[in-house]
Amino acid sequence: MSLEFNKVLEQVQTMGRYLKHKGDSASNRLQRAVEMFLACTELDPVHERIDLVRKSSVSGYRGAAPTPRPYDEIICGVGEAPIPPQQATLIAADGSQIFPDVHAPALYYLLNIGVYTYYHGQQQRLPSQFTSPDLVYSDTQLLDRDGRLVTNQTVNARRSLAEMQALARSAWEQRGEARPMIALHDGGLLKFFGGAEIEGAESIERDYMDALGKLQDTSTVLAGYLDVPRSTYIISLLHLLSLEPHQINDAVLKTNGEFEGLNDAMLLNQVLEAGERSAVMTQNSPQNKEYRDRKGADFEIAFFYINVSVEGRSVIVRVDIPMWVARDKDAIAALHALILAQCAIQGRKRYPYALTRADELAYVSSIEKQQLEEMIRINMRAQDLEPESSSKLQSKSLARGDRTVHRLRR
Amino acid sequence: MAAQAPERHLVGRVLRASTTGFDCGTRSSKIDEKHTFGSFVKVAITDDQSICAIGLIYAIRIDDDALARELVMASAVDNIAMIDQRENRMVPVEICVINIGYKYHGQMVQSMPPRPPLSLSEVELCTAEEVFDFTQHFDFFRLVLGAKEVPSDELIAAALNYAAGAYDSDTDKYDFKVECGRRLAVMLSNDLKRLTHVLALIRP
Repeated sequence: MSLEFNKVLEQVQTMGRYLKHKGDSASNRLQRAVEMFLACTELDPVHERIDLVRKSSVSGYRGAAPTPRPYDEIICGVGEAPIPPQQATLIAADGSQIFPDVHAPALYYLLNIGVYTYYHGQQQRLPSQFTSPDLVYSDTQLLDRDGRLVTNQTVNARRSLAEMQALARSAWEQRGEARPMIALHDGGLLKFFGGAEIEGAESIERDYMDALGKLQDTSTVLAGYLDVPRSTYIISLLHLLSLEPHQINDAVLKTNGEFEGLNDAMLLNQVLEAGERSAVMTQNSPQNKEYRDRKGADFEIAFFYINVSVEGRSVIVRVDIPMWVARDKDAIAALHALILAQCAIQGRKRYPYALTRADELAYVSSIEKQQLEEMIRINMRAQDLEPESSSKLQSKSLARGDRTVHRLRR
Repeated sequence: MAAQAPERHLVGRVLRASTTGFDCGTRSSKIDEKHTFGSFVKVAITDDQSICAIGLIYAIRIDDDALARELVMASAVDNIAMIDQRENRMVPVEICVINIGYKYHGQMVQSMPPRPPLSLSEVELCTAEEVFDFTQHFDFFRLVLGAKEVPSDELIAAALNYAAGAYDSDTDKYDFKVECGRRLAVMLSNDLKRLTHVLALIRP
């Protein structure tokens, strides 16, 4: 039986009414947030307030902070769309995976990383592309220290690491190409590899930081691109600024007070014109502090937002950059301009073309997964091994299978 | 000195086939004058190449996808994205062929081939000699004119104009077309509108 739409229709209608109500109730708070944001024209009070939460016993502040002086920018400041450099090299990497599945013919997982390089300004030059699939089947990588199958979070973490390593490798191999060299990663740069569910989290984190180090060594402008940011860094900063010093404590900072329910994209929708960017800021978090403590101040992650739309409805995206990029105004201007140029390529879909192509290269479709598993079955039989068969999966595919239409054939 | 092998003009490789025709595919960057509506093509249906199906290209399709549609919607198509689309992205060109005969140990037969070619078989343009040999008879007209789902009038005209190129002199070309016109007049005698249209298309 498939989804009975007559039964879900009423729930969809209720959901629509709920979302409308949520939007209406947010609009007044949003107006207040915009007013407060636009009033943040001085940096000193903001620095003072950030110093307060960093030095006191308060540890729960997870909002935005200005970048260290003298690279800090006025919170409500906006940057107009700059002119792109004549030439640049844009490397984008993305990955996909087949998670380990106990119903597969054998235990394995697959990572597939796609790397795509776009030579901006070299009109006749064919972009380069490659993929690197990695089939993982040995027990040492498939099982955790307790002998259990590794979690999907572990596979995701290993994929994120492989993406960053592929960017670093490609940047090194192409170090002689036109500058600036931009490395675009799909997603934020602050990765949380901790947690008990990720096997070998420490070594993944160490290798990830090493990959960032290699990107810095090649003077690459690294950027993490977040298409639909739901972050509330600036909103949290506004909440912090709205408090009296004596009101600041962890309990109060757990929510965003009167601005709860708003996010940065909603705020910047009201502020940024097409093509403009917000100020560069950092996120105040233990994770970011750890990045700084591990490898130095260059590795703290900063961010800014861009309205990548041309006209009409705003499209706010977040761009994460390491501090070695955040300190370089020319690099930020080039990154800002090139992201806009990349987004313009696809017309209505405001998304960097290079990332779209990297995703296309990396994507493993369900048909390709079936073909891969067929290859595994054939090879297992060639080795006189019987592939594992899952009655559950086989009976499910029988019931889910396509119907055959009767046709008279010539 | 060994005789030089004739130059091969690869059109594509078979994707799907039946005895009535086949579809072949190639990359969009490879498309050129070999992929012409009405061209005579051949594909081996035996391993030793002793039997080849012979057909006419009646449709050439270039499929789009969501990304191609978005690129078209941009105010100006980026040149790098365009060459990327054509060279890197494997956008297939599908060429549809209707079978009009086969070559059996060097003999041309104007009837359906005994079996279809297998997937990924190489499809080549017929040589001028093969086109000349094949068009010494006109029985294939009926296969084309009676075919459903193909633009049969335009196809027969395009095929005859293409085949005329295999005849050496202008006189031979003229005589070939006149003879074709006569045969068509017999076959389409009950449909004068259609006959007039086809004759106009092949008028020397």
